[in-house]
Amino acid sequence: MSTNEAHPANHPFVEYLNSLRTQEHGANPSFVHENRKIFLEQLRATAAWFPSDDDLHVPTRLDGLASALTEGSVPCDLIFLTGDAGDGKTALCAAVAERLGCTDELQDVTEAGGWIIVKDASEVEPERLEALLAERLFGRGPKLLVAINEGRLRRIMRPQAEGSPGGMAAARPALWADVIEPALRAWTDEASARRLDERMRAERVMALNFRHRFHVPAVVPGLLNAWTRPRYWEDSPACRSCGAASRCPIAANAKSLGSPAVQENISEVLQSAHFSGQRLPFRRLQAVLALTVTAGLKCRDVQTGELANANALDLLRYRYYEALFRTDAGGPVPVTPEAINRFLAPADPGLASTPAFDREVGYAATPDKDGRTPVRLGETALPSLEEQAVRFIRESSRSAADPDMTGSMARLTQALRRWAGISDVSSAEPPEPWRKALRYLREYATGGDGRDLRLAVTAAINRYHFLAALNEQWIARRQIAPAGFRDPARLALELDLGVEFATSLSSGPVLPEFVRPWLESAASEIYFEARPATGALGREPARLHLNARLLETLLNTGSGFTYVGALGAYRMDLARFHSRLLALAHEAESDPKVLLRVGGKTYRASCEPGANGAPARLRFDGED
Amino acid sequence: MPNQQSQIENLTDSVQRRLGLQQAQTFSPEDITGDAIGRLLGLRADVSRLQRLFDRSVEAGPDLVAGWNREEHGPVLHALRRVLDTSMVVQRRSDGVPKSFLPFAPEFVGADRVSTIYRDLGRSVVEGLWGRPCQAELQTRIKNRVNEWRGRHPLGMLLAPLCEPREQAQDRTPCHLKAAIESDESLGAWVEEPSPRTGMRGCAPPNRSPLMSRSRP
Repeated sequence: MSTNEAHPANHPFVEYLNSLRTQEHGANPSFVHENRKIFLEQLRATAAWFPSDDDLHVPTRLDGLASALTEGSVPCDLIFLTGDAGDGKTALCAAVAERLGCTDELQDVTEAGGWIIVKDASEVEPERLEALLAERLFGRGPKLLVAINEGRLRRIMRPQAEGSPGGMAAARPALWADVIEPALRAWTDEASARRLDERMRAERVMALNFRHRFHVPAVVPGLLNAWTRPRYWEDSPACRSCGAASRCPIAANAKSLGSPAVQENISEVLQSAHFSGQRLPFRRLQAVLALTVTAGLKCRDVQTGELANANALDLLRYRYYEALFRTDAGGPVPVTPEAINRFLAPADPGLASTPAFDREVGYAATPDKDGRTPVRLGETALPSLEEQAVRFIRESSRSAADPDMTGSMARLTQALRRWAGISDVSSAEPPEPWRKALRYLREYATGGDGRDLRLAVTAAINRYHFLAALNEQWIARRQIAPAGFRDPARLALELDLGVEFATSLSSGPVLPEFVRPWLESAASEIYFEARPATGALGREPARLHLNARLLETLLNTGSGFTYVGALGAYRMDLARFHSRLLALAHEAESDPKVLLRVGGKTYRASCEPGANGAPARLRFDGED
Repeated sequence: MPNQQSQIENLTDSVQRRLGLQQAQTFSPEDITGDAIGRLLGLRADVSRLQRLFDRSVEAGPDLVAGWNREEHGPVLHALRRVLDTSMVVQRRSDGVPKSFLPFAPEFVGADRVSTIYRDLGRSVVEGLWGRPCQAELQTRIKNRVNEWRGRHPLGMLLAPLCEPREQAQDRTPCHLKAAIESDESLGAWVEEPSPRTGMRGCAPPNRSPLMSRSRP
């Protein structure tokens, strides 16, 4: 028996998961690829049952690219992998090198199987990198795979100045404008994706931009399934010999997170963040999921540390749903959340009050006579830790031992709201606004026609303008002016655009066919567009960028929340959208008018030039 | 505390002098934009009739509104004044009359007492940061966009005709920031360095600025 198995205070899988957290201090940062191998070997040396790399690996489309490169079935000689830190560029380089027969540790520059692999261009001297690229671009030497951040890629490939192409531009004059720059764009439409596809094939250069990756739906269940196998937890030597297993939040989390429904709910929370503009590189995604399993705890915290004698309510602080939504480090064991946690707050069920549910929690926590009444919420029995927490509150209430009973009850209620929102007992009907917004966007981003999304946004914009009847088809001609979005006084100002606007949607980025098979992606940058219903159809439309947060606010207008202040920072986006509508109305020669609403009456305001040198004057004409 | 206060003021003063900023002690950031637009387009206007909208005297209504009917138009003028109060006024005099406005249309940039009201702040932008020979295209693009504004904002559309354009007197004194950029090689190089993301000059990351690098040992 190894040392660690004799002292289960070091559960190797807990150590491994904590090492994936970016905010864990004092652990090996194995989320950095170079640190990973040796750390895992150490863990395996102390626990033979620790899973293999294959068991921990979650397959993605990038595996297909590694195989295709090995087989020589990708028709290109130069590949740039670019994206954010933690996107998995180095891991892909290592996978390719391994499949090409490289058994050694990956070096800054590694040659294997007819390829030169640069695992991080930032670690290679600029002169050497330029020489490698120049060789390849002039058609000499092995093929080249380069992991490179966007800034360096731009610097090295962009022509230096007009009329004096740099080294790279001299080798392939069109490469920057035709391939690199378009591949780095945040948004590409069908036409530019087709052009890019043609140029990549012609130049035999692939630029794989990981920023266009949408891997949350594939990776979340994959990682959680890989991490929650019973053989790593209740069936493992470490947990079997642990005296604290029955009250261990980590073990309880591992069990709960194995549920497909919980995985799907967590995936939707993280997808909602993605559709709100918060990209989740693999490293960040992995870190927040690891946090849901361990809650940032170590085994010794539960066995002999601060949680050894903690009450059941304090243990709830370390459940997976709390780890997902809590943004503070408080509790008996302080745990710093991941940076992404703050961004998940809009989907936090703990912040949404449902009177019926809260009443049920209150009933469940009411002291019973014999202390044996089963703890249920509705028809659902609570998991063990949640049940213990409710019984703790019952007991505290009966004995009046808790000086802050109200605070404890509030904590319990919030925790149970989160549990119900994320666990498989929750199937809110209708879905919560954030989830509804996500589903609208996801449906369109993944190839749906987006009709419901378009109608919902059109109706919401009209509702902001006090339109009595539901109008989902057109943006009505009469609108509050963009200036009306900061102060109620400005609501006096209205605009009659003189024309209704037809609406449509567009989405991007569309990936070129050359790279599409290798990246999980979705056209998740979605724009709502409006054009005058009559004439001027060929002009650039007014565009409103739809993200999950804005859409959630827009959908709330259906429940009567039509105060424009609720748009918060998105007021400016809507103001710009309306500004463009006004410009389009002018171009369509529709004679837009400024209106002032005073009392119950509306006045058309205009300005007439003065005759014979007299100054210009305003006109206020009352409308019937 | 007073000592620390004076140290901070001295530091601010030093940075201002280093960067060649003019009259930066009290200003409204919106007026930097206003002044820059006035300079870039070579257009300012007589905004006295716009200011007159805030005059509550009896004769203001008939002067400003054709076919004035106090009973009917008074509340409308009042509502318009409130709209302007909350959306367009940047600086006011002590009697409440506006000194400067947000330039929803370029005509809202006043031609009077430019150096007092706008404190010449737009010079640092137009002549310093955008005044390089390589910025000609950028300047043209900004001019074209700003010229569209009066058709993009209802207040611009409604009120621009009240403001009669006026010729702008040319400044004869040198722009401090421009002089600083021309005399300091490292500052000039930083301004010229294209942003890695947009390719625009004068937008290099702050940590690349010569001011930051000099603070290191």
